[in-house]
Amino acid sequence: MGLMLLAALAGAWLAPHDPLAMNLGQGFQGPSWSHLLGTDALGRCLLSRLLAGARYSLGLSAAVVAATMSLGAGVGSLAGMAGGKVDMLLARLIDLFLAVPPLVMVLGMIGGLGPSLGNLLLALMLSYWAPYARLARSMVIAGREKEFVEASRIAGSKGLALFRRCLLPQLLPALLVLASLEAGMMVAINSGLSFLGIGVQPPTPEWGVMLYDARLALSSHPWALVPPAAALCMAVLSFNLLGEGLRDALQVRKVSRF
Amino acid sequence: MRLRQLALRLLFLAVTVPGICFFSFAIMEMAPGSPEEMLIMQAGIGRDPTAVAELRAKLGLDRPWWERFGLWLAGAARGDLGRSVTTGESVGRMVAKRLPATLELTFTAWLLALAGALPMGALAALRRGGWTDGLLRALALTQVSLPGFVLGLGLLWVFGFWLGWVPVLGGGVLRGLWLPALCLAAAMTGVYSRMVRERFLEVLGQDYILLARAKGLGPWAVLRRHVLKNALIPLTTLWGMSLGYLLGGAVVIEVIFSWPGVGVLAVRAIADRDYPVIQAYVLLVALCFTLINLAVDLGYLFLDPRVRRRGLLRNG
Repeated sequence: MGLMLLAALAGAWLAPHDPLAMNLGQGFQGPSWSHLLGTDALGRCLLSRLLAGARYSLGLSAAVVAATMSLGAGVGSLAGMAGGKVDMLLARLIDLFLAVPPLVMVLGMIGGLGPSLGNLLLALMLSYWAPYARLARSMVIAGREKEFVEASRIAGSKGLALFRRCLLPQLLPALLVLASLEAGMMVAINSGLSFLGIGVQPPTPEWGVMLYDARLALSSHPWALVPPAAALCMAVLSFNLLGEGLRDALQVRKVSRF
Repeated sequence: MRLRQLALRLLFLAVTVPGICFFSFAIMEMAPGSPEEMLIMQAGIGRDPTAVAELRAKLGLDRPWWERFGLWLAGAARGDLGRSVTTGESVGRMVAKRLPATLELTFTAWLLALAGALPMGALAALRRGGWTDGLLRALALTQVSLPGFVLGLGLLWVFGFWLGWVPVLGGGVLRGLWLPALCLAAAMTGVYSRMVRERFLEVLGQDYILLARAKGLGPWAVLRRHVLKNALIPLTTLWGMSLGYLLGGAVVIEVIFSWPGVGVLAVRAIADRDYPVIQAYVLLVALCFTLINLAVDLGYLFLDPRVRRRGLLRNG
């Protein structure tokens, strides 16, 4: 199982991570079918766009996941470590953010701020951090009581050092599992938003944008749909497999997307 | 004490609802450039400072934000959500026209997801280890991994254009609904069938099942009397909450299938910077979601007698 998912992940990643080896970002070629994956309605090479788009579809999602994980874990850990009033306040805040469908928040924020890459990143970050926070907080609270933490505390480490040495190693596997599961979702959401015209804007090559372009000519030239769709599915699948494999390998139990 | 949990829940609601309202209100505040400038520019008048100042006073935008929030809130409570910047229609009416369509879609998808996930999960659990199990789990994995809108585009092409079975634009309840609902439900079905399977496996492994069989109960009776209830009740909270998530996901599906719902309205509004519409959308959907969660939590309180004693653990 582990091997299989590593292969799946590598497969999805090795190919797109060649953008340097590629020379055509988005050349406006004539609409001929002599390109490996064909061309789109404007004659741009699909393969090149696909590979270049990977940077946006995958990279952006990865960045968002990293950011949300850090933010969420930070808040959650703080809440768990501090306890008392700070914890209560932060816990309510986490609940609040968990109570609202994040997609709606993203739509609202982008609606207010205007669609752009930076705003997209911000909106996604601010909407999706809560699950990490909840996980971090509950793990910190549970971990605090354990004996080895007590032992460390008696030995003299305090506060931040205590956290870093004892709790963080416990926290990381669970967070990573959650992150990889969420990453798959994030790729889908990212592309979905771009498809709607709310995320990355055309003519930037991004898989969602490519799907949008393809949609316009759906009845006559359906082929343009296939490369980005396939890429998206593979990416999401790989992340999911990665997450699940990690979960089994690291024996993390309490992590689920809800 | 059930009453205490209820009180806590309502208290939480008292915090979330204003939070949502404020967030919706804040959307317009976030816009770069002041709202009145934006409105003037959209009306095509050009940035004439006198006009801007007049509009500002007229819309009451020169008052401190808390006053404006109060005014907006009062209006919203009355049902007056302002007028669309692009079409001038009453936003309230626009949303009301389209909300039923979205609810139709979301609700159908929700039911479909359940109808699909239950048998899938149960069957996989009962035939554990066999090829049915493997097949169903693979199916679930694919469902989870295929983003709904990709599936939507693909199926639309296959069924709409190629086979011509489905009308490509909207199409009323019977003919036009099932494909978009299916796509929307797909991911959820994948997730749930796995959860159902896990729960079934857990419950099936319990001693009381063995006892029931030893007593001589046939497999179907055991299933009905013991397994179903115990396995499924804990899942109802999640299932209920997913209705809210579906509300959000419906947006993309609506766009693909040209389903005349609220999501399409929101997307267009974002592109057009039609703030009142965006605000209304956010407000409505978020509120719906919160209400649904509340209903689900309360329902759960009544369904599971154990919860009444132990108390609702929302934080896991």
